Amino acid sequence: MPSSAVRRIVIAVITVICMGLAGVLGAWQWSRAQHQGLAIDPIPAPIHEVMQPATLGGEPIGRTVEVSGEWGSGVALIPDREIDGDKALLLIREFTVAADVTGTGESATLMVLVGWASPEDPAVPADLAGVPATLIGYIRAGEAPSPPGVPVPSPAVDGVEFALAMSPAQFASSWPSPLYTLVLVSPDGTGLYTELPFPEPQTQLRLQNLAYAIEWWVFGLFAAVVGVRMMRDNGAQEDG
Amino acid sequence: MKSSRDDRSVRASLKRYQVMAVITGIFLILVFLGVALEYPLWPGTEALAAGSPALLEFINMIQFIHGFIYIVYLWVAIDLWTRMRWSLGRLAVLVLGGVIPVLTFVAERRVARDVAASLES
Repeated sequence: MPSSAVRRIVIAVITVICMGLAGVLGAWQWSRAQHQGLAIDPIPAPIHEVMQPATLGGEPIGRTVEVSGEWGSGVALIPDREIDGDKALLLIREFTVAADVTGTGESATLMVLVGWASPEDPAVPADLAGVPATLIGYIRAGEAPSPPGVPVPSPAVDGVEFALAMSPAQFASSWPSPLYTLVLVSPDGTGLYTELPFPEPQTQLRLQNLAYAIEWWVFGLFAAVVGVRMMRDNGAQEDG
Repeated sequence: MKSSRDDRSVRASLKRYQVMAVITGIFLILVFLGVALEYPLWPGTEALAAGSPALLEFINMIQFIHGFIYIVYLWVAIDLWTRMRWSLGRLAVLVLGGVIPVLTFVAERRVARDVAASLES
């Protein structure tokens, strides 16, 4: 019967399309799960594998990296922030990444967020200029430069610059270039300030994508089952 | 014509579907409530659950579990659909029943009624 043959072909084509779609969506979730798994890798990677100086890129945010070099003289405080609901003053430092670890052959400057303090009574940050160090921390995004014309409050701590934003772009004019465009959060160099809470690993997110991948593939299998049933006897009432 | 043995297996399949429909229906309403809490109801306002990480985590867990419950629901729904030799339109109602809140319960009532009618005839 030609009409039933046509019906079968149509069902087969639709089934294959549905399975393909489910397969692709599953693969997409699978790759997202892998990607996010990579992003929270607790094993520190050498910095040159993760980012290059003066190069934009949001990929390595959340990656743990290891970097050696020495502290620079630059220190700045960022006012009006909050850490776990407490008002906070963030302390950032200039770090000179050694030429042999940048991957470019020349040294570069990295903005490092080392800690925070209550704005009530901030300590004078220790001068670490020239002190060699190897930092292990994680990458976070830099902030946009603060809009021009917004008054910067006068420093509460003698000799320390205040900045409204943790923006490598803004510091590029005063700190030695090339500057990394992302910020390292490190528990080293914290001194009298308080270490920042380490973000909880986002394993749940990864598991979620993994589950979505499996769910899509199961949906694909269901499409196959339904397709086969449609070809056999489901919907036969309409024909007969 | 169906033997009484077929009737029994259809009844068992219907029972499985009904149990899963109730569970899925409840979870679906929870998922929608969760979404309403997780995202701002009005642009510029803060989401109702924004201040509570524990609540957000709970909402996330509900969504996560719902995914798997929906798979089991689909499995038993396809099983019943196959046994009843229903058309594709009925399958669409069953599939959507796990996605559109309250429709789950409406579909469940209708399916139970139709299966009962078909077994009696």
